[in-house]
Amino acid sequence: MRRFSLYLCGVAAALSVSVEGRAKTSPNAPQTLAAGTGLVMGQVVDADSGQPVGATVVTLGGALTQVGATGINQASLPGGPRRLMTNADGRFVFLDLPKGSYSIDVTKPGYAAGAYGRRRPGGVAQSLVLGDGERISDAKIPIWKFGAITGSVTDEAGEPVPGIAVWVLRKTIVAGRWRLSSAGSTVSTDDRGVYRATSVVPGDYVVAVGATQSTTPASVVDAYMAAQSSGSSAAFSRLMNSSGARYATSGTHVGDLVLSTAGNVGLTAVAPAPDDDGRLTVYPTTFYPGTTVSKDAQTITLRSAEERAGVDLQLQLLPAMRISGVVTGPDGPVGNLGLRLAATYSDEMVAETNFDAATTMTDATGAFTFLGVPSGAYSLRAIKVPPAVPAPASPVMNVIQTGSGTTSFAASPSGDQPASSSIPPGPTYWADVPVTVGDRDVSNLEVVLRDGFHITGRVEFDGTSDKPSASVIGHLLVTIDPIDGHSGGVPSPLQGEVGANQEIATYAVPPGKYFIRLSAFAADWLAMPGWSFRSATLDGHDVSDTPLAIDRDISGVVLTMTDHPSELSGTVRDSNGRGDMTPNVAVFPADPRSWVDYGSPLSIRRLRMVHVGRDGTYKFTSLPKGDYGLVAIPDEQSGEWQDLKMLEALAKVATKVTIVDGEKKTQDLRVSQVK
Amino acid sequence: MTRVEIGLAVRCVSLLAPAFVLVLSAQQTRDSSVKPASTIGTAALAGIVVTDEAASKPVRRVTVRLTDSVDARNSRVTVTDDAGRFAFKGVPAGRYTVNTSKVGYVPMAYGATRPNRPGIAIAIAEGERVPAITLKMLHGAVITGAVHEPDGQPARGATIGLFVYGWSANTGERSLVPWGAGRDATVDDRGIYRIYGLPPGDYVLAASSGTRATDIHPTTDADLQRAFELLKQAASNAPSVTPSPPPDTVGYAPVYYPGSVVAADATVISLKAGEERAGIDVSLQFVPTSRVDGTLRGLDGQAVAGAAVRMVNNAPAIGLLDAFLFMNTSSTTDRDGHFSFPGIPPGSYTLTVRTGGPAPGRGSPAPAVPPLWALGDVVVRGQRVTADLTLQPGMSVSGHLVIASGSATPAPDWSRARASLTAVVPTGSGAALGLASAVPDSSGQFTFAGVAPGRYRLTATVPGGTPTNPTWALKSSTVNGRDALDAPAEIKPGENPDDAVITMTDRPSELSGLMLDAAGQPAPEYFIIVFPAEKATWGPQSRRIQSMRPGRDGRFMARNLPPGAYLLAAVTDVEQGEWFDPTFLAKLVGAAIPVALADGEKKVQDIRIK
Repeated sequence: MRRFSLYLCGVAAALSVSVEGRAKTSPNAPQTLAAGTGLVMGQVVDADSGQPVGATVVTLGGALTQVGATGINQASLPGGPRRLMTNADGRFVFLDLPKGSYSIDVTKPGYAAGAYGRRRPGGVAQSLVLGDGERISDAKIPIWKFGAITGSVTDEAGEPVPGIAVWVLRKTIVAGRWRLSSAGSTVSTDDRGVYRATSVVPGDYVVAVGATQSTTPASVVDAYMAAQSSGSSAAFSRLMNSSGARYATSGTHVGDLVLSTAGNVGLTAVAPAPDDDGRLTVYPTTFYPGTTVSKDAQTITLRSAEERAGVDLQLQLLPAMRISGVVTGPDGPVGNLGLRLAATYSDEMVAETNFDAATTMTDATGAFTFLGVPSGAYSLRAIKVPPAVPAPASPVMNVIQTGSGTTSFAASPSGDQPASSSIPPGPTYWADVPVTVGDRDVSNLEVVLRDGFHITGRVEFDGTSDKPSASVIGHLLVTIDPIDGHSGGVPSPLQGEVGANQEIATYAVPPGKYFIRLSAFAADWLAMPGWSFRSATLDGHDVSDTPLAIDRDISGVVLTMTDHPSELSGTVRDSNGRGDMTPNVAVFPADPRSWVDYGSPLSIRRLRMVHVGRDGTYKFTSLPKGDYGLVAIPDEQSGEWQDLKMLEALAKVATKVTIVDGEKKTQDLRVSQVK
Repeated sequence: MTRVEIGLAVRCVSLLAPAFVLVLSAQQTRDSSVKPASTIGTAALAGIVVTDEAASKPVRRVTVRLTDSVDARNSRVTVTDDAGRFAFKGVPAGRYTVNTSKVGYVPMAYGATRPNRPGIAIAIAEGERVPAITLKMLHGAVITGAVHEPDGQPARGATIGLFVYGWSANTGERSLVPWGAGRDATVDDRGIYRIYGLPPGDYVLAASSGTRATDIHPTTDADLQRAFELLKQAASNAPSVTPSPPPDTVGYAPVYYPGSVVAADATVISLKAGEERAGIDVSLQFVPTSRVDGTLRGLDGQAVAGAAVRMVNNAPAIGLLDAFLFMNTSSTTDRDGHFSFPGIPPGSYTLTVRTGGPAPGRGSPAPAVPPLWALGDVVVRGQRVTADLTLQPGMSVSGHLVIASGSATPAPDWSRARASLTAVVPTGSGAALGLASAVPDSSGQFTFAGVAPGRYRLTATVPGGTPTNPTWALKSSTVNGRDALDAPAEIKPGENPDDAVITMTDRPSELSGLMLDAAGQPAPEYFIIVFPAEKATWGPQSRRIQSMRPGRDGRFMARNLPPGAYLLAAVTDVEQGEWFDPTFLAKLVGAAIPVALADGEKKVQDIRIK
């Protein structure tokens, strides 16, 4: 179960770089790096001014290796990483290095992290390959000073709104479409209502004050209190979480309901108390410069290190309505079920569930009420997967007691846990109902839950290498990836798993278009060297990169691992051979219809970009078979290259290549200028 | 009816606030009774929130919480309107506290004499219309300033921690404690921070770098010189080089305003109500850090691989600052039993290891692997340190839970109970390995395996009832027939006591009464302290010392005091935890009422100001 939650965290957080995990230090690794005669000397510079940056921390770590199609693993350096601080001239030197492959990371508060081979904030890093006795003296590593967005938030009376979360949302491309990503940036207003977002990389931004009205039946709050005092709160929260129910433990009582405006992330503005009839006024989610419609939000384009002031928001109170009704499933009313009310803007968000207009849950009779809903168009959504069987808790906790405090940790260090079936059998109930709210309450809404569809099949190994062990096979993950990379609140991507007998098991999924793929954690890829995922097929047709419309139970999916993946490599001429100045090579499907709806950013296989190495070469492995465009472009033209307009321009100058399963293809390139 | 006359005593007992011990008389009155709880009611409570200043103004959008101390389900929340007014309707009967909060203001409780003091309870009867109450809120004070790197650059991303002097619940000593958990500020991209909503008072401020690594080697001219020389040589036939000595490393130390890494040298910042204090600037500093290496060996002298060695700082931890610099780190031993901790800041540390342990499952009858332990002390001052450890066999402590004779309730399902063996360590004198809890079997039998020698307190909890009034209260615990609750029990090497007994009771004692003024009217504005007559039992975390705040009706209650001779005193003000300070208690003795409490007794003792 823990493995799954880790993976889902990754989905939420990682967009541009998918570092799938870090190898654990092996207990058998030698403790210190053998002394050698190589050295790496370099300088940390401000990316914009080119001026040296002193007092930055430079960390020499182990090699970066690609795992799976898009993951990167950083090996640990024997004896631990070596850390230096640059001198006033931004200089650093690592001495006495044996030959090997290294990574260099550079951090300084107030700057986006730099790394050897990284040319854009958040861009991909490269390994530095050092020969025996080799001395590199010109490693120039740029770091990017953050910009800032600042302003104030006031309410309808013009008074400052202190202590609330302000979202700084970055426009980003997901599956070929622009979306708003909240990655890393909420800030709080201070006592003067002033906010300042300070870790802002260059890009296009939308600023918003979010609000989610969360309704909880008072009976549930009471049950929570009772569970707390009887010591069974863990069991209570397990029960609630299994139904996707988010519940408040305190809030404003409105009849037998409790309304909490504590946001999903951060605090929201305090609205007036309900009137004597229980009528509410609320602050809706408001986008700069002052609209509740995200399409009317003003885009703020921030250059590197730019400060944008005066991004002020005034919140307005809106009268709010109720939506109430009952949820039924195949066996009658469904109690304790979490329900979300997604606003139109929710679908534009990368982490859409953080932007729900309202949430609630059904009571024991299946009845529900959303309090505090302003007029507008919404989607009422629910999904309930069968509850997971909780893992047995460690019976004993160790404690270190000092004179002033206590530290607790589990008795046994979590070692390699045997793979256990974590997908319980049972239906996935879901609902997605459009609701329009005018100036009156919506009552007696009937929401009917439907079952999803199951997918069965097996994993095949095509090759002569030793097959991975049963335990590694048992760690493989089947991802059922919505083609838009975005799932409308469905746990994304939905997961399946592989049994030691190579049969797959999945959660039932709501109808829709999906890709079916295999993935694994970095440590598991490393445990099956040579193997990679090639394709998924159904009745001989590809379903790993061609959308599969799931509108029934699907059986007989064949997921194939191969030990002879395709390879596309070559040399880029005009490349000047310096690791920090080389161009990039992009590969993308020849068919423009595949430039959108290619699934989650974590499993992109057919739109990829790599840096050209110091030796002028590039390499893609495990490209799915098909026709592609291939182009080398200067680094400064590589930003947001997955934008449709950019892809059109690239296609005009690209070299056409066709990849066949298992083929090792060579294609030399020249750098193209793109307009 | 008894009356106790007590002599006059008016003394200053707090450094921060003059507080007065009251002259008391005692009188016996009625029975105590407990009312049933419900969540729907008919009473109403309304009021207004205004600024705490001469020309007070209403405060809008204040969150007002009504909390029932007995049944949390009765609690309610509302918000003040534009005229500062609020109203609760449909309130069930209960004893309520009222708290206000608004960002930028100082949270207050109804009836509190000042911020950070408990309020007084309002007893509300069914159907009652409580006369409107007024709550006063202070506009919070502000501290703002700039933080710089050692090289003078803005220290972006640095964390600001704010501390106040308070009584530690752990040690009973007055020391720096973090102000407002989670309220640390972050230095922005201009190097500026702002902390707001502060109550008036004395503060200590510290800044810590956003760079957490403590094993950083600053690049020196000598390093660069050597690199340039090597670059001049031909790379192909490089001579074998003697490796350089391990480089010196540094980390950022937390710096206390105005500029010391030592908390004791900090300048106290005294804030008046609502004051904005600017220019509280700090520069960060480096401290040299050390590498600690060692080898772990087993009982047979062989190296032990794959064991987790932890390193714990012995200094009192004070909040987030120490969370990074004095972090508790862990290293897993390699094939040769080696472990290694780079970047350890100056200080005194304890190394701890525990291997093996009980098999999973309830009751844990037999250990799967013999539990072993090791402890070692290390002092580092920037030099390299070697610290080898040898594992020792752990002890076993077993026993059972019982209910006190005369309990009316049948024994609970003991498997839902938790027994705890807590190591007792004086401040700053190292660390000990404790075991958080053991799960008894359904007969109440429990076993702690792998116990390291040391002094321990044995306790248990049994679910049921409410937090303030649990069904089962801890009455006593013994190991080897000796008390292991008020005085820690010593577990010596080779001893495996199997006769531990934890006794739970459903009839905890109760000491309740009314706090009355000279006219016999309720006097809720005081604090009541109950403490043992016997000075030897005064100390931190004593279950014989309790502080109470009477309700608006003057009613107070202390539960589960062990039988014995007690003293009951009233003061105008006392800081949180100050009542564990023997110096404070000594000042109360002369003006206190003696009370004898028998086992399970429900005693009523009113107190009256003379």
